[in-house]
Amino acid sequence: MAKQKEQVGKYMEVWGDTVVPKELAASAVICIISSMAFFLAGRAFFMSLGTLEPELAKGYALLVGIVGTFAGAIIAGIRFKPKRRILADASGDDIEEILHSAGMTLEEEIEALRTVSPEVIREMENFELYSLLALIPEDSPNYKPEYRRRAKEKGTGREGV
Amino acid sequence: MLTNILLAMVAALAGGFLYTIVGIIPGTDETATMVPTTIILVLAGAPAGVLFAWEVGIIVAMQCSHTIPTAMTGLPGSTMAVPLVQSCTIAKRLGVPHMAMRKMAAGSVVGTIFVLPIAIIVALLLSPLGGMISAHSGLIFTVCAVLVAYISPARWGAIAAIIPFAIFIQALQRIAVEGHGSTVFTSIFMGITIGPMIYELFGALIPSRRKQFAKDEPNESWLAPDSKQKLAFFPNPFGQLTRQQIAQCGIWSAISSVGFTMSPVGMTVLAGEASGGRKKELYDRISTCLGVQNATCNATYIAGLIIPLLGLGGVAIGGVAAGPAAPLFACAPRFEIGNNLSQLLTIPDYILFGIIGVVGGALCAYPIGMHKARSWTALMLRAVSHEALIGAFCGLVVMLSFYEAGILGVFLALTIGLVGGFLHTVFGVHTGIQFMTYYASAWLVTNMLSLAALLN
Repeated sequence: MAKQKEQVGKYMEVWGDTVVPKELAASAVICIISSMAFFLAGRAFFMSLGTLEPELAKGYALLVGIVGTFAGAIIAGIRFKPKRRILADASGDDIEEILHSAGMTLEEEIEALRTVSPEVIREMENFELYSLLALIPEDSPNYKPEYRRRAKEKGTGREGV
Repeated sequence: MLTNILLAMVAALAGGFLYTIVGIIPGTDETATMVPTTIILVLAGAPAGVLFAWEVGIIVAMQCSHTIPTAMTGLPGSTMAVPLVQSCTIAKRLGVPHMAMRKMAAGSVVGTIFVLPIAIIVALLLSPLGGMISAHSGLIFTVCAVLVAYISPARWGAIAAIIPFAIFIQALQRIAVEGHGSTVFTSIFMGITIGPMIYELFGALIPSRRKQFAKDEPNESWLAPDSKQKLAFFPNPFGQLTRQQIAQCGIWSAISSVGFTMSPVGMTVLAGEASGGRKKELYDRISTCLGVQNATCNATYIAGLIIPLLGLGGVAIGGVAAGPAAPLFACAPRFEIGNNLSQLLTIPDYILFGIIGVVGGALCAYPIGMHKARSWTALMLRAVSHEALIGAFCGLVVMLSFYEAGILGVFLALTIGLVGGFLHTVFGVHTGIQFMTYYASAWLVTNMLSLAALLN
């Protein structure tokens, strides 16, 4: 990955992701040639059989052509590697910040947790969402002391992947 | 019949597998990816039931697997996944992307199970109107085009664009008649479909624009950690949702059946706001929102496929019939409005091949979503280059337009792609409006000509 940094403005965003324009042009040419070659060869073959109706023969030729498209895409995929940088997410976000980005305040969430149904609480336990469960106020029927203990344990034991 | 059923199973499974992968690749558009392969199957003479099972299978698979990159990286797996991104990002920040994943995958299966019978009932209720609708399809397409344009972001601009765009399409059809002997369908449809991409590729040829959009660094994607929980191979989707969420999925499946003419993305946004918006607690809100939204994604698609076929006599009304499923409605020379799947399938066929499609589509996508979400997302991001993906599209488009009208077809597709892509990207006159205008164009231009003759 590091060697790709040498050029400035090397990448371009097309259809939602970064590509290198030259490589994009090359893979388009490869795929068009391979699709057309397979399609034309398929058409010649099915037409020469003489037993199929011309329309159907051309339809079958399309199926051969799509094999060519895949072959072209595989060649292009091997020649040109993806230009994405993949980073593991450590997700150590502060709960207040997350609530804020969802358009909520800590007080609203605490109030909502007090009355939320036990079915939802059970799901949150299954997903070990102690950062939220620890917010349940002590006078709520949903409150359990273990949540806060667990949240602390999880907070210190959290690690990136 | 038995061979048809076996073929349908093979088609649904193969389509399910292929579109599970397409769904995991971020950003792939449903219409752009589903139309070419479906056209090929139609033209290769696949039986009607097989085509129906294929279409249902690829819809279910893609709507289930598009949640995988959305939950794991925050990149939408398809156009329909865009409304899911916000809640997914919050779930990811809370450290529970696998929760988002399971809610959405379960929602998608539950939504499909609900919508199959509901859509058939709604279609049967509407079917007395079918004959009238096919008799006036030109006028109805025009009205639909205006409606779709009005609810689009471009609003009045989109309505104003309908007539020039209709004239443009009919002008190209005239050229096709001159050069090829008949009007074309695939070339124009493919041209509209890949218009936004053609427009961006065209922009890459202009030096100043190229500088403006150049980037020094590739995109970065953040991949969330995996869950440690153990699940069965095919976990009961109803068990993944609360009773309230299941009820909401059912309600929204019914609403999307009735509102099948609306934009599927719009319906999905609405479902999320209405179901999750009222929940006060954060976890409850995002989990309900995601489950119900993805159930609605599926429901609008399945309803948008079944109702126009079964209820409206095969007139391609709505975003699905005029988008991803379009080749089942019109695909010259085999299908045209008035002679398509609608005339070839009976009610038991819809049920039988519908179920085959649902099972085939879910069998691959659902377990992968439940178990392998992280590893498959990482695999797709590392192994499939965007260059190869776009290249494959270019290959398909050139081949399909060439099949229809030779080199002329390729030129026509590129021409309409550039103009349509410009309207879509710059002005927000999106491809859905363009498809509707395409269907309306013959009627519009014929009437304009007679009006012009009258006033002359």
